[in-house]
Amino acid sequence: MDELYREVLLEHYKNPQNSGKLINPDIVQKDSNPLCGDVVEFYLRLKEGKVTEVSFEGKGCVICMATSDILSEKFKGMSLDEIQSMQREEVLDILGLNLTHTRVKCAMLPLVAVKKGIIEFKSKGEKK
Amino acid sequence: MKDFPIVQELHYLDNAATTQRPLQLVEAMKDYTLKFNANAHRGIYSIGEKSTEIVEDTRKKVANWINASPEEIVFTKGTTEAINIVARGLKKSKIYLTQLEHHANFVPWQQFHEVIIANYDENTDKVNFDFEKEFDVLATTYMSNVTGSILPVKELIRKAKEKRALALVDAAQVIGHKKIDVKDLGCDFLAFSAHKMYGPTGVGVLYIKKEVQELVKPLIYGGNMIKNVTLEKTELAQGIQRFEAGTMDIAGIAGFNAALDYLAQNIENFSLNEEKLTCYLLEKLDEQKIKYFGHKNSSGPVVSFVLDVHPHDVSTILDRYNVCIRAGHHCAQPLMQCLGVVATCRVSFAGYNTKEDVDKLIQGLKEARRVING
Ligand SMILES: Cc1ncc(COP(=O)(O)O)c(C=O)c1O
Repeated sequence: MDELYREVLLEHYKNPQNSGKLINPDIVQKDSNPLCGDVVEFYLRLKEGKVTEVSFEGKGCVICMATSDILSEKFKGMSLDEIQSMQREEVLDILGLNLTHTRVKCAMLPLVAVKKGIIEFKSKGEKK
Repeated sequence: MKDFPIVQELHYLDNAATTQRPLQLVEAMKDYTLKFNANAHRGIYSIGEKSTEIVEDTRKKVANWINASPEEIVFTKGTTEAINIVARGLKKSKIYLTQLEHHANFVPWQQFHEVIIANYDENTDKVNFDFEKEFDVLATTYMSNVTGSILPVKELIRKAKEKRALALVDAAQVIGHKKIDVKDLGCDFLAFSAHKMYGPTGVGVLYIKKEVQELVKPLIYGGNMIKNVTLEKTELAQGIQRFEAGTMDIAGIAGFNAALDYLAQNIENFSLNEEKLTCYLLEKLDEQKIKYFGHKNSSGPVVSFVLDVHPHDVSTILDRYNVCIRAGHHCAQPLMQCLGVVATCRVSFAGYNTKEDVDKLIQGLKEARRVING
């Protein structure tokens, strides 16, 4: 029908490859968007400063859920600093979407959550 | 509707957020701006006097419309400011609120007073008050901006008055659909916004009954609200003038004047049309097995519903059909908690809406289900 709900995105929404919980993750972070009630919780496992495994659980709109799945894949192999330096333009580029102001917030929630988790993790002192 | 060019191309169903404006209002604002623009209550020259006249004439019209006297009408920038004037101007008290409140009639009280809440029961579509409880002020909405529920405000105020409490009514949602009589209601304060009754944004009204004006301290201080200022001290003006510091949105008030005329001419036809459209919508939602909230008792033309597609996705897909609805918590999070959802889709009607708007909506909802759920 249109860009926003093209097949690829809906595929990530309906059959996410990275959904579920991890046992003993190094980073767990939940965040929500009170405006629309989107909620995501991310689980990250690290090895030698790099992300080795990522998964998420959540409830939300197509944009938020599909972005969570796509970014989960993207985060694997990245360092925490690399993730922290990711900007919204990069997320929007990956999605290839032209989003309106309110919908950008849906797309940004996953990255916002993970960045929060990283800050928390770093402030506790790196374990591994 | 020839008076509202914008709805010729648009199925605008977010009237609880703000209504569209008739050409008559645009003309009035244009006329004022091009011919009479001057500050009100100041200039002693003809266009200055004319500006003052427009403000005072509008004040009279508002007073007439709600059966108050002009000395009881304060212009604000909207319902939110109107309620803040009362919430911040009264001494700290115990406030009885309902779970249906818009944040505008919730947060100011919660910040500065002690609040108790009358819960909303979705099964009966009623608010459960307990008038055995002690309280100083009843602050209640007339009509919910989420479920459309209309509360028995007159009865509630009568009971509050038996306890010698003050009563404030948030009339933001009801004002564009139903004629209000403050004397009949018996309230002390009533708040509403022009932009929900075919008027402009930036203008609102606070009705304060004469007998209680002294109980409320002004919220904003400065020019126009004083009687005399010396280096040592300021003597405040009497009456409503104390609540109108600074320059007001006079062009907006000129537009509001025209909107009031417009509403007065059309309110009967409009509300009948809205009632029929609401019934039609509920039938269609039932047909589609879409769950909506409330509408078991007296209700206005506002319907919230949820389906198996996230409200944001629904709203985005409907936009492709030129259908505008609202998706979100509607500034009523305490109510969302009670409904057990974080967000709903909301349709709200105004006089210019048509059956075709509803048909397009339903077509869009089917499409949303098809696209997202496959
Ligand atoms: C019931 C109710 N009260 C208060 C308000 C706030 O009105 P305003 O934003 O014009 O101040 C609204 C607006 O949506 C409302 O629906």
